[in-house]
Amino acid sequence: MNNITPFIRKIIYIACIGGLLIPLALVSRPETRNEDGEIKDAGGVLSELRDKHNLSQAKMSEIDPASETMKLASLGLRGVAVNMLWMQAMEHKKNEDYDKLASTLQALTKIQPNFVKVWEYQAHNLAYNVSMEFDDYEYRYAWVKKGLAFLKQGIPYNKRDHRVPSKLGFFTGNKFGKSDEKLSFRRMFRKDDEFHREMSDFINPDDYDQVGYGPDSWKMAYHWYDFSRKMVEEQSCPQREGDMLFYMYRPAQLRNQGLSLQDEFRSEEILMEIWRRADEEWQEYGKEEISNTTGLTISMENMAKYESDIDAQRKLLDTMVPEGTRVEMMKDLMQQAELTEEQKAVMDLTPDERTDEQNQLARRITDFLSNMAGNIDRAIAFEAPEEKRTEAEKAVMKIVELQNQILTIDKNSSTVNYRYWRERNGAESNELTISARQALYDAKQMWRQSIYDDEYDYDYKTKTKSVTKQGAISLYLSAFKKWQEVFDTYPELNDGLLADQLKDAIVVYNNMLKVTNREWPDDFPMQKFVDFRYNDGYRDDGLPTTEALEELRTGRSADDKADSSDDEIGAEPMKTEKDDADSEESEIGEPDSEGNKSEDDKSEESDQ
Amino acid sequence: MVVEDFSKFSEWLLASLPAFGLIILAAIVLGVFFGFLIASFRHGPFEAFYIVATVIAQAIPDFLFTSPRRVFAIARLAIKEALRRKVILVTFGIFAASLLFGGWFMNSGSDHPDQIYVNFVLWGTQMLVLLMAMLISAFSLPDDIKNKTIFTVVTKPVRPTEIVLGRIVGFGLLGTALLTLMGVISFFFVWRGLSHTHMIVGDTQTLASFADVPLDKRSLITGKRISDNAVMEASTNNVSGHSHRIELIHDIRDVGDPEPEIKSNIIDTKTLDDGRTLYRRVVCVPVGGHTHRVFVEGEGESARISLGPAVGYFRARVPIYAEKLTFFDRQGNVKERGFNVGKERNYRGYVDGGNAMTRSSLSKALFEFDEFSLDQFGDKDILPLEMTLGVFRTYKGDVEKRVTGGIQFESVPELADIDNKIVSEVIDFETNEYNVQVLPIPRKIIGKEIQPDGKLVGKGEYDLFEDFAGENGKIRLSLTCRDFNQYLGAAKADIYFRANDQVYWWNFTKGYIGIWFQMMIIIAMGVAFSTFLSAPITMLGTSVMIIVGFFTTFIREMTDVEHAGGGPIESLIRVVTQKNMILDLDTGILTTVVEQLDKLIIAMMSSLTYLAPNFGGGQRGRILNFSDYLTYGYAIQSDRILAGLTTTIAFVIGLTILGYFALKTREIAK
Repeated sequence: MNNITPFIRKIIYIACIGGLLIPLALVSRPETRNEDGEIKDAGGVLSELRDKHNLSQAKMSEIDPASETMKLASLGLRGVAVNMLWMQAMEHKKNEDYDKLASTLQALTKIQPNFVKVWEYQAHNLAYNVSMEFDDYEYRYAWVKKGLAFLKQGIPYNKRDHRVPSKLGFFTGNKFGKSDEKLSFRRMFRKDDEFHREMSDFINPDDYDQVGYGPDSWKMAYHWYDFSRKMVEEQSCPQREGDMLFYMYRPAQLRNQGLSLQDEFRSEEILMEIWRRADEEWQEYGKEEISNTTGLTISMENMAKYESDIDAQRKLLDTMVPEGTRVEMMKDLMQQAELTEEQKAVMDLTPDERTDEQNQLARRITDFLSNMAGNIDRAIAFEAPEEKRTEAEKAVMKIVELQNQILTIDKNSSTVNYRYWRERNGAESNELTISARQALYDAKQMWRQSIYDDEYDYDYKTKTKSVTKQGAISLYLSAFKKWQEVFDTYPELNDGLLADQLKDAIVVYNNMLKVTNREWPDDFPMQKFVDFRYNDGYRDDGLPTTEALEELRTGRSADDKADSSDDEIGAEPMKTEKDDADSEESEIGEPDSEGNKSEDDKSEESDQ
Repeated sequence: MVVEDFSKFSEWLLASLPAFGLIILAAIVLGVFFGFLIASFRHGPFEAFYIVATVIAQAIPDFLFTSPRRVFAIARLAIKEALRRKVILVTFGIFAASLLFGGWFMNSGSDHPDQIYVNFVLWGTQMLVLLMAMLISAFSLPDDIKNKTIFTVVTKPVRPTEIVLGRIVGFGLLGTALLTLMGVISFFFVWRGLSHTHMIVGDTQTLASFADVPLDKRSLITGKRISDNAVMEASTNNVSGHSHRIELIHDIRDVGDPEPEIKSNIIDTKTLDDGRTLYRRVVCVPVGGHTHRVFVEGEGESARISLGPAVGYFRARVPIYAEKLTFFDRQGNVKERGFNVGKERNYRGYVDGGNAMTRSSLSKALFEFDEFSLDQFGDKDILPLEMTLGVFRTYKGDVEKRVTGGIQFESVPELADIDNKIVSEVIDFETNEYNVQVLPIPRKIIGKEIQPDGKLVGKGEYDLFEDFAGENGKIRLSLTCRDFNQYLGAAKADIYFRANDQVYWWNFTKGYIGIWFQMMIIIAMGVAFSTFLSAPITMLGTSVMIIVGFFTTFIREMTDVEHAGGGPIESLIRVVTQKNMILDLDTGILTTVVEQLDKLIIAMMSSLTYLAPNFGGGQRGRILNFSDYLTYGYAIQSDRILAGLTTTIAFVIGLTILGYFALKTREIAK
């Protein structure tokens, strides 16, 4: 050894290092494909393992030189570098140096590109936290876009994680369509060709160009969710969210689109079409076989089927016991429970004959009665003769299973507010509702211009008036007539966001009456709606109920009324908890499309 | 960028001298002590005393009679040696390669491409030059000693000071040449990278490509707000990741008003029936800190419109800051700070716009300017007042409307009880948060003169320099918030008058002078360390100092702030006993001793931080590092350069002394 000169020794060392690099290069060589996209070389073992476990970019086309260089440059201290950059990012944010924050995030995600939560968190930081720091809405808009563009960069690094496009859908929809500046944001979004070009590598701008209105942010969100769904459905990427919400996101964007457009423009045929599509997709979602966390597979549209199945099982059970057992038992229980006439009438109907609401009521009554007797079906099965006891028990078990499914659907569908939105989509895609919306829009335009009264020509000879231009008051009245028809057709809508909007419109109407010194009309078209809300607990609407009007007319306890309310024909200010939430808005005036709506309305909970 | 006002060089020097003196004293004491200690081990205490005394005594003539001729001879040698090492060549090669390919990775779609370009070249140059300085200085002396080539030098009548200083000067000269080259190339790289122009989108480059703007003054092209006097708009093509909106504006001027300063963009001129003049002008709306000059060939509808190169990227703004900022609360009482709106950094104080109940607020931020004179601005009729204000809304309000602020000027009479005061009318403006907002202030503004008792003397136009600032050169500016329940935030550096800009290339050069300071310190450090350490250890030591240099601000913050959990010993006790930071330690003698010891250690650590140069940015780092100024387009004050130069000289002298004694006590130099 001593005879070997240092130079030769160095050469041997270098040769050994070089020699070791060859097998290393072989086992970690990335996959390569030819021009047609066919695999030319599957890559080395390490590369295959990386691909299998989604550890990093294993294919040649996926490798980002900048990211790889930065990873190498950190000399194995990637964790330390990430921590330092993260701290630096926080410092920049604290110092309100947002440009530096954005460039630090670029470096951060280059070092740590496969950690989805980093993309999500920091994109949220830019689109939400940084954007709201700016006073000018144009800068806010620019930072929302930066957040989205940043998150989009995460897609190629995380091709098997649907959460990135899913979050893009959420941010796009939520920020452009629901923030305080939504009108301005959506207006700029429609014109923002640069942004559309920037996002075009994943979503074709033509896909979210809404005929008649231009590019739509909700429709873009729809396509991001679609992208996310396709990753799971077509590319078998692991689904990292429960079925109930995962499948809800995409169809929900269509109704959001409809909601936004009808606030921004006068409703037209195209809008009806959008609602129709929203309705179709929502119902498809309802038919989807969905697994919940307990492992039960349900379909929200199958509620009626499950109800009939229970009925069939009960009939089967009844054949195994002496005739009239159930009737007798139920009669006893109903007597003990002292049901009202309405409840009794509902119980007399078959599940198919009942409406959704009646079915819910019937279920509640049955549950109540059943609980009174422990479990009525079990009690009935107990009456079965010995030889049929096992079969009867089986029928009971089936009933319990179906009941569980119904309970799950009930719970889940209320999470996504399924029934309300099904009804609403149906209603909004109806011509009657479109014309009601148009009427309300026209009335609102007049109100904005403060033209309350009709303009007319008066013929002094015939002493007749011919209206040349309808004022806001009469336009509102005709709109309300149409809306009452809508509510009559879709009674489920009497409670929820739409009802609140209508209440606000009636408040505006009432205020106009006061300003013009008019009385509340005797035949107010939506009196039924006003009364319904009052009886439903919304006591602070400040609108006159039939009872209050009656009292006023007959002059009964007029003094008491005057004391209890500033409004001479207003409702008693009996506040309930429910009222508190929107009492402020009703006092301020109509929070129209430009104003705030009560975001915590239960109908809105499931918007995303 | 937070541009804090820098005190004058003389003030800075006076404030820094005590600390500098203390460090020198500590260095002398420690040097003598350690020298004595080492000599004692070698030769015993008595001999050691004699040796130390001799070394100190010899140092005086060595320093006094250091010959510049010999220093330069050694410098020449050092240059030759460094050139032979090819480190310079490699450094320049890396630099050239970075510039060649760096342009590909520049984010052209950024809001501020100028900042990215300038940052890139400054950061790249700084890193490469510091690395180069470290490499050439750390290896030189140890290699000479190892190869024994040092004997060819030390056997000649050369003093150790000359060996150390010669190397510092030699490497410094070489580094300076490289830095100059890099600076010149960087300048052209930035200039070339940012230069671009646009074409108007449309069939023709005339008004035919323009569209009428809607009545709601929202652009048809972008949906964003447009100028109030815009009548038509067009868009340019996308170049360098952005496009501009082009507006045709109606500029109507009263009889007697001056003509527009820029005439190249006028389409045509008409005299209106009431005698006023209408100028139809085409303007390019700024994007990302720049705009383009518009040129019109011909007249009227058929005039050909073209855009010039980018304007606004290369700025060296000279801000004239207020000397003092005072806040007043809603009732008009003086407050130490403005309202705190809960921002984490708490940099700005906020003024309150009052509420609908009171209908007014006396809350304001009062900026007091001294030495406000005409010669800073040239003969201008309009003075640019630049602002970087913060806005805080307590309620949403109109989301499309920016919060409004008000500016008012008043004179500062020498004898407030006797002299009259001039107060201007309030100039309202819409804020533009997180942007440098320019408010053009006419030199002559409408105001009133009032007696000390509040009695009105006269109304009219008053000159900001002649009437307001008058002889004492003082003027006050008050900032108020004009929207109820909203707040405006300001710090001292947030409002300034923009004097005439400095020449950009000179400012750019000053930025590189900052890098030169850093390079010289590292060279001196490398040479000094290499007199007593081996080459790899010198390199390690110098690189540690560079790294520490970049984090000096952070380290100093750790030592000068009362941190929860106490100093190092107390922290250790807490870690061991698992006691959280909020709980007090048990009272007793031990705790008192620990606390006092911690105070001592923190004081020592704080002093030690000054041994490392501050290369980082941040508010306190802007003596050796001016990159932020160039990045954000502000002129670097000469006083700051002087402070940097002084710091560099102090480091170089200190390190030369260290190198001298280290070399002197080594046998080779005897």
